[in-house]
Amino acid sequence: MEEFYTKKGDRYLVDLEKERVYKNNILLPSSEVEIVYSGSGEFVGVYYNGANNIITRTGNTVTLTSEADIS
Amino acid sequence: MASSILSGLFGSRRYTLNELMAVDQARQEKASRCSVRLLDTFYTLKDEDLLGRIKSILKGKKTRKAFYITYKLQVKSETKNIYNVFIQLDPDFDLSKGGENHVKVYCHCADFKYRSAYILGQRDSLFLNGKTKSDLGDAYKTAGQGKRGTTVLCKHAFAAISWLLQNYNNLMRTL
Repeated sequence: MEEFYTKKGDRYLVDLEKERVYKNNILLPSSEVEIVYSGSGEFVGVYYNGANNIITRTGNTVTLTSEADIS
Repeated sequence: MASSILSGLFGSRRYTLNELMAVDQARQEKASRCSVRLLDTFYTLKDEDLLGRIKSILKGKKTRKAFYITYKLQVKSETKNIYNVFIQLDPDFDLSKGGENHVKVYCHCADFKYRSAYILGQRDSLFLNGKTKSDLGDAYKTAGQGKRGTTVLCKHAFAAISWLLQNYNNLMRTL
């Protein structure tokens, strides 16, 4: 189980075993969020499909870029 | 158990930061006279590689996407030439293991193009996207000849990796 807070004060609880994400104790639909790991298998954060953002395990929000757009 | 066996069989061939730092003392010496500046950070999600997919299936989990960070660094050499270097890595939050990070690297200097790109490409450590592929042309598919083939990294890439290792803890803490 991973727990972290965003700068806005939202509390995220991530159940890695059951692959469930709770935001302020409310279960988020799996269609909206996905648990993200690094290539080496470490928990990184929560991916919001619609916003194309990741809320990282330190509570920061990072915006994703397509690899093709890196220049 | 099965997962660790698979890691042994299909483990990443990619260079680690420590391996790249250890391979060429002469380059390190030249790199120490370069200055490095972080220009940008990119965050990418990609489908799991084959090993990751097999591990997920063995653990009874759905296959997933893996997260990568790409740092764009500007390196200025003592001759005042400026080159951009890209370093892509998996974030590892165990700060003592920063040097074990498997990386992909790219520099747009000619030395990298004709001497490093092929060697790195053989170990899946060359950062390739549409732009870098276009800049490299066929160079990354062609082995360097004689002494030209002996350098794994140009001094700019060395300097950038050295900077990354020195700043690894701060970079991971601010992720």
